[in-house]
Amino acid sequence: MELTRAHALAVKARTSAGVDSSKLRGSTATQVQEEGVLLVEKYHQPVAYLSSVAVFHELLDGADKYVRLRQELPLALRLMAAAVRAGVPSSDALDALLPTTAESQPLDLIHLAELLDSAIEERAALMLAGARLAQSEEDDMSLDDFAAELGIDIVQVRAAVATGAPLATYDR
Amino acid sequence: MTATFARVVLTPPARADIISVDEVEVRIAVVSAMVEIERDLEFGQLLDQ
Repeated sequence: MELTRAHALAVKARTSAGVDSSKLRGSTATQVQEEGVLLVEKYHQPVAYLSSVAVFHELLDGADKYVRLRQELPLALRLMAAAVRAGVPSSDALDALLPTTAESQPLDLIHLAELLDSAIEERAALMLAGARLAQSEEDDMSLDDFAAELGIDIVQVRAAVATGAPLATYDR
Repeated sequence: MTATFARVVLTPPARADIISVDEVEVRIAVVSAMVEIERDLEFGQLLDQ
């Protein structure tokens, strides 16, 4: 339940004039449990809110989420800007940032960071491919010629590959 | 049968990368991998046939 001042005021409206602080009694606790939140007044001025334990925990949880949101927002903005610069549509970046399900995390920074990472990789691959296309083919060398330059018998390598017998093994 | 055309070519930066590796076994492994890539291409005649 999202608790707001408006909600508290609505409770006040339901409980007529609220609870006068000079008249707080044991029955107030019962009333708090029933109502969720009560506005305490003194001389018709609001001085405090009383809440049930459940509402109190929700308030703490809400405050915690708010603090995390405040902390994560600058990073989220930087990630968003980087993602847009990397070519990610802003709507996609926003979809990644906002959790689709009700989770404890207000922002899904990891999802957005992963999206940015893949966009950067894709961009780098495109740039590499573009650079390759722009290169002259004059300096290219066939596999046979290169193997000969390395002193490797390409016929033997081809035969080994064809039979599935590896010519090299790794010791990690 | 001798290759009728070269389907795998190496650019100067790629060659420099491979040459920079000192271990002969690794160089052979790279060449083997490129032969496999060559064999996996969808068209053309297999170079060792």
